[in-house]
Amino acid sequence: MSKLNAIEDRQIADVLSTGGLTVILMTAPWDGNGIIITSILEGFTTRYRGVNFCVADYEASPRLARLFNLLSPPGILFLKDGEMLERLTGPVSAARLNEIIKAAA
Amino acid sequence: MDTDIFKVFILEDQPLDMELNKRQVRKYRPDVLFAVARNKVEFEEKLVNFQPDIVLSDYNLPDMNGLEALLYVREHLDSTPFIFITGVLNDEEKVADTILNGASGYLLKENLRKLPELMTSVVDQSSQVMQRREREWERRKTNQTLLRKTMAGLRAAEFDGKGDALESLQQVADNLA
Repeated sequence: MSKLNAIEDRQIADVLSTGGLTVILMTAPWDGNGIIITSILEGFTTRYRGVNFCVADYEASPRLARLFNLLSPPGILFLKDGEMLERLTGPVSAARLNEIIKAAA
Repeated sequence: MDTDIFKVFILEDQPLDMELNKRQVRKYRPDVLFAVARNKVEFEEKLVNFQPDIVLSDYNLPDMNGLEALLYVREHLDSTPFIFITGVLNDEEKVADTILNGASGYLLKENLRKLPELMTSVVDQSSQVMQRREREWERRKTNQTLLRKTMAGLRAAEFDGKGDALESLQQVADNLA
C-alpha cells in the first residue's frame, strides 16, 4: 500500500484549502517515470512529516489534470495555502524534489 | 472552463496588496487556485505553464510595467482576461491606451472592494473564449495521452526497429506538447 494519500477530482477543493505544503504526483499505471517518482516521494514521507504527500491517477482525474495544465504524466505539483508554488513535468531527480520541498515546507 | 476551480494569476510586488487582492478574489470565487509573481522573471517563468483563467496585474513593478505584462499575456495566452489593479492608472489617456492594448478592465487600488463585481462582468464577457480554449486543451490532452500510452506499450514489446520507432514517436510527442 502506498504511503502517499490517494486523491481524486472531488477532493480538489479540500486540497486547496489545506494549510501547509501539499505535494501532488499525477501519474498512471503505464507511466514509468511516475513509478520512480512515487518511490522517491514515499521515501520523503518520513523525513517531512508535516507535508501532505498525495498521488492522483492522471486518466481518472481529468479536472486535476486540467487544473494543473498537465497534458501527460508524470506531473508534480507543489501547493501551499491555495497557491501553486511549483509545477514539474517529466523525469525529475530526488535532489531537485528535496530542494523544492525543503524550501517550501 | 469545465473545472469549478478558478485559476488566478496575480502580478504584484507588494505583499500587503497581494493579500488584499487574494481576499477579494475569494469573495468572487471561494474555490480558487493562485499563482503569483513579484517581478518580470517570475512572471515569465510561471504564466504560460499555469494557464490562468484571468490575470490581475499591478501597473508599476520594479522591473516592468503593466503594459509590458499585458502584451506578454496577449502574445502567449491569446485572449485570457486581464485586469489592471493599480494606484497609478488614473490618467485618462493612459487608461485609453491600456484598453486599446487589450486589457479587459482596470481598477484603482482604492476601489479594490469592487473587484468581485468587475471579475463577474469580465468573465461573463470572456465565456466563449474560455470555452474554446477548454476544447483546444482537451484535444491536445487526448492526443498526448494516446501517444504516451502507445509509447509505453511499445517499450514493453520486442520488435525490429523499436529504437527508431520510439525516437520518432518521442519527437512527435514533443512537437505536440
